Amino acid sequence: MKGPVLEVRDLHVWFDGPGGRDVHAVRGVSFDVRPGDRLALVGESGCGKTTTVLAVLGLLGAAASVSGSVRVDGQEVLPGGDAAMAPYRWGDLSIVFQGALNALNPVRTVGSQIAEVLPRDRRVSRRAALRQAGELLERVGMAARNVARYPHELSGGMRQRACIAMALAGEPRVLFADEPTTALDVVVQAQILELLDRLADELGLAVVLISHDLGLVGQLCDRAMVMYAGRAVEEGPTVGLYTAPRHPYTRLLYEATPVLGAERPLRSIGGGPPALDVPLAGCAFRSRCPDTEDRCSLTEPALTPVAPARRAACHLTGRTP
Amino acid sequence: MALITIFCAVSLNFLLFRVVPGDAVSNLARVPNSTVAQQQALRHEFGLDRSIGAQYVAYLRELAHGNLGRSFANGQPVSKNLGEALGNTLPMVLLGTVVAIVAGIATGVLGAVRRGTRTDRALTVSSLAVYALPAQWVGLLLLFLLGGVFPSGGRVDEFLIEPSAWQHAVDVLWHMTLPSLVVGLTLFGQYALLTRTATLETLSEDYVLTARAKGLSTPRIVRRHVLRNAMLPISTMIALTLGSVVGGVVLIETVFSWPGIGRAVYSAVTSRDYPMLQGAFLVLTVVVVVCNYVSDLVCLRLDPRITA
Repeated sequence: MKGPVLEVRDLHVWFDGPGGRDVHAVRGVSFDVRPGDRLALVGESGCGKTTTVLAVLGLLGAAASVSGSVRVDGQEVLPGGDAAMAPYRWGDLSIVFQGALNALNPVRTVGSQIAEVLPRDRRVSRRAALRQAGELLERVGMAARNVARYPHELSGGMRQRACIAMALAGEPRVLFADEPTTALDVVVQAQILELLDRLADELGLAVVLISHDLGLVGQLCDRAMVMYAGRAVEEGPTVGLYTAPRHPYTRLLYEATPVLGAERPLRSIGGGPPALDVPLAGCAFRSRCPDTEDRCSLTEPALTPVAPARRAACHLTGRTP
Repeated sequence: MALITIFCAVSLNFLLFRVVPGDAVSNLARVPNSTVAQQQALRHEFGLDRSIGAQYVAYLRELAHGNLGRSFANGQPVSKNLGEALGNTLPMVLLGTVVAIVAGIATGVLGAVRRGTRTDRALTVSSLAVYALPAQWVGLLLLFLLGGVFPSGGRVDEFLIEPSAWQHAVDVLWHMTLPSLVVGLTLFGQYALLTRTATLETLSEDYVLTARAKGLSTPRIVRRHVLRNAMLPISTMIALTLGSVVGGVVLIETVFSWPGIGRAVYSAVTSRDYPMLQGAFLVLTVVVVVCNYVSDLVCLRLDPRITA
């Protein structure tokens, strides 16, 4: 087994808040990505999934402070900032953003935006670079002539395909996909997912999918990390997470996901995630948790092994099989 | 569209001079001992006894032939007077504008990229200060500071005898420096502030985040993903200000005795030179409309989303 491409340890992110009330958006997240991995970060909006990924890629900007450790091929990149991260961007770690219309520059052609991230030896001439870009577009199921088109001339699904082609241009080893199918209709959603699946197989890419949709996660990923309030609350193989969730949040999240043909009521999780600009006492999920004990409001449960390759952060895990 | 605008402006321009109290003759005829009969004869000669409609048609016909009438003040054709004045104003204003564009955009982008730093604050404050200063005051200040280095007024050195074309050009450029600098300074502040705002707005776009994720360096991101997008509002603004500056150089041209269109308008007003004034208004209207048209063309080039 090869070593991990990416190791993230105890990642914390604070955002400057008004009046010095800093928001602790990511609170100690750790994960590994090995070559060919299919990992998902799951959770509802505002639980820190996207922030985690942006922090790993060093894209959060000056308003955020990040601590912990991010290693690419064993090389620490976090304290070095932009300069340390830059060599790994796109070449090793690339990303497909949510909302493909805004992720592409509206005044430049799709081809030129793909061509500018091709490895240097591949774009000896403009013509060669554009041909390469065309080949990448064909790879994601688009006609090569789309290189000359502008983003607004493409449909939503095509734009997302173009973004994926662009993400592949640097021949990355890890592809982050941040809600790659939001704002797309179900048919296109399935196509994009199938495309990511195929590309990951063909190119030996590791995929890190960020999603709130457990259906998608189950289709594409074999391992998932469920996040809540900036923390991982449960992680393990996706199959096990669905069939035997060890954290009440995972269970409720699954019950809130509609499944075609399943004879069960669709439930929603009452309330919302806690505010992160004040220190949390006890378990972050307790206000929405159906079964709490006294100790839930006293100490925050740690992420502990509950089964082979499974970890959960719940005081009652032992009792909720 | 631009042609329709110009046509409307021409018509309004015509009407404006018909509704002012008194006509050209009542002014000319303020000569002692002029009789009513003489005034009528003059009116007839100028065609002022005909109906408004007929006058309008005649005006349009002559305009179509490029005839703007003759100046009351010096008897020269208005088109010749205005041509000369515009020929003096345009290079001076353009030079100033180019200086302002280059300096303003550089300043604005630098401020936006270094947002919140001391550099940004210093640039923003100085742009605001320059923006707030009245042009004629800046002119006087520059005269006071640099009057010894650069010529303080006029367009050419009257004492140069039979200069070569090259000498003449250098001489004109030398005289142009101060007034152009004033034009440049007054525009610089606006351009710098707008560029900063537009750049900041563009920098917060998702595709700039994409560009950063792609590992592009900051200068490259600015050049390839920010500047062109930010140029859209800036180019519109440049075109708009250019149009109004050509019409608004009266004060600067007065301070530097620059024989341009601003001074032509000013002296036409003081001497009630109606044909000159009417012609000048027309020319200024055309300049503004042309500038807007050019800005539309530029936006069309810059932004593929806009279609003609």
